[in-house]
Amino acid sequence: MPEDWDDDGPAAFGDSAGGGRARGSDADVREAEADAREAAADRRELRIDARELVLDRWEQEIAARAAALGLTDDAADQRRAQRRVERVADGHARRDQAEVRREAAIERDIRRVERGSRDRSPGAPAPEAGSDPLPDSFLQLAGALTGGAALTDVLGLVLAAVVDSVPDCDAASIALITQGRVEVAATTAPWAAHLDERQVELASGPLLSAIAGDRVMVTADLGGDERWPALAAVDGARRRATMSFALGSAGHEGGGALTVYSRPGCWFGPEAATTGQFLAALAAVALARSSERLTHEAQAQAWQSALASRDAIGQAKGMLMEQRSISADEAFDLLRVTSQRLNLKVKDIAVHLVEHRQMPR
Amino acid sequence: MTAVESGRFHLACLALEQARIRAELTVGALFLRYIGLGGVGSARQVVDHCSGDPVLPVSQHNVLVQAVNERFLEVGAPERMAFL
Repeated sequence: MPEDWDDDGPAAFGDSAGGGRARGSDADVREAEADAREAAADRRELRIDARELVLDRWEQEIAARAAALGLTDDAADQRRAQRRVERVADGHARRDQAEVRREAAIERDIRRVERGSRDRSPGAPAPEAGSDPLPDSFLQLAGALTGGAALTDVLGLVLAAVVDSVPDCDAASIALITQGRVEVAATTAPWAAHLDERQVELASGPLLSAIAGDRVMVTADLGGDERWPALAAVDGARRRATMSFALGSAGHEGGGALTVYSRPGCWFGPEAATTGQFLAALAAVALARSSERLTHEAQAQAWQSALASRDAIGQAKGMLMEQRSISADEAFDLLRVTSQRLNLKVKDIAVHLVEHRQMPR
Repeated sequence: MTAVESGRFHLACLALEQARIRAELTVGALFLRYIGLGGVGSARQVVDHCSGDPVLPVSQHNVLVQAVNERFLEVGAPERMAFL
C-alpha cells in the first residue's frame, strides 16, 4: 500500500463510500475511548488490590503483636475479621466487573474486525476511486512463488513485474554470483544484460557496488556518474538512470542484484525505488527457496548413495563370512585391507566381489 | 581394555578428529560415509567418539578411519590414517 494512501483519507472516496467511511471512523473513536477508560479502570483496580494487600498485612502484624503482648481484644479481632471479609467480597465484585469489561472489549474487537471485513468485501466501495489495479504480472508472480515454480520462471516474472510497475522502466535484469563469478541470470532485453556484463568486465558500476554490500545503488546517469568513470565509454550507458538492489547476503554465493534501467533521459522517483525494493525482496525469497531445495535434493541423493553402498558392502561381508567362516568384523577388515592395498574404495571392492564372487587382485 | 590401551584409544580418537578436519569433512558428512560403509553406531556416538570419548568399539573406530581415508583418496591426498 503506498505510504501516502492514508493521507488521501475520505476525500479520495465517493459520496456513499465517504459516508460509510465517516461512520466507521466515529465508531473507531468511540471504541478507542472505551478502551482507554477500561485501561484506566484496570490500573485503578491494580492500585486498590495493592492497597488492600498492604492493609491485610498491617492487620496481621497488629494482631500478632497484640497476641505477643497478651493484649487480646475479641471485639477488635472480630471487627478486623469483618473488615477482611468485606474486602474479600469487594475484591470478588471488582473481578466480576473486570470480567464484564473484558467481554465488552472482546465485543468491540469483533465489531472492528467485522467493519474491516465489510470495507474489504466485494460490495464495499473501492479504497481509492480511479486507482490502478495490480498488474497481472504481480498476480502471476504471487502464484509462481506459492506454487513452487522453477527459479528461472520466478525470476522472469519478477522482471516482468518490474517492467510493468516501475514508471519509466525500459528494461531490467538479474545477475547472480555463480561459482564466484557474477553472471546475468535473467533479463528483459539483451542490451540490459550487456550493460550488466560490461559492469562486471570493468569491475565498476552500481551493480557490483550493490552486490558488495551497499544494498541499493541508484544513479541518474549510468554513463555520466563520476563514481564510475569507466562506464562513460559503454554503449547505451549515457543518460540512462539505474537502480540496483542487492539480493541475498553481500557478496555470497547465490546472491546477486536486480538492476532496473530507465528509458534514456528519464529517472526514477521514490515510488519506483520502493517498488523495486519490494520486487527485489521477492526475488531474494525465490533464490533462498531454490537454494534450500537444492540442498535438500543433494542431501537426499547423498543418503541414497550411502544406503546403496551399505547394501553392497553388506552383501560382500555376507559372502565372505559364508565362504571363509569369519565374523562380520573380520570380513570388513578383509575388505578394507584389500582397499588399502589396491587403493580402491571398499564399496568398489564389495561390488567386484559380489559380481565376480572373488576379491579383486 | 587395559589403562594403556584405553589411553591409546583416546589418542586415536583425537587423531581421528584431527584427520577429519584435514580431510575437510563435516561430522555430518563423516557420519554419512560411515553409514555407507556399514557402520552401526548412532550419530550421537560418532560425534562423541570424534570428540575424544571412545564410545564406539575398535571395529567401528576402524570404519570411521576407513571413511576418512577414502576421503583422502578422493582428493588425491597421500595421507592415510592407521587402523587400530
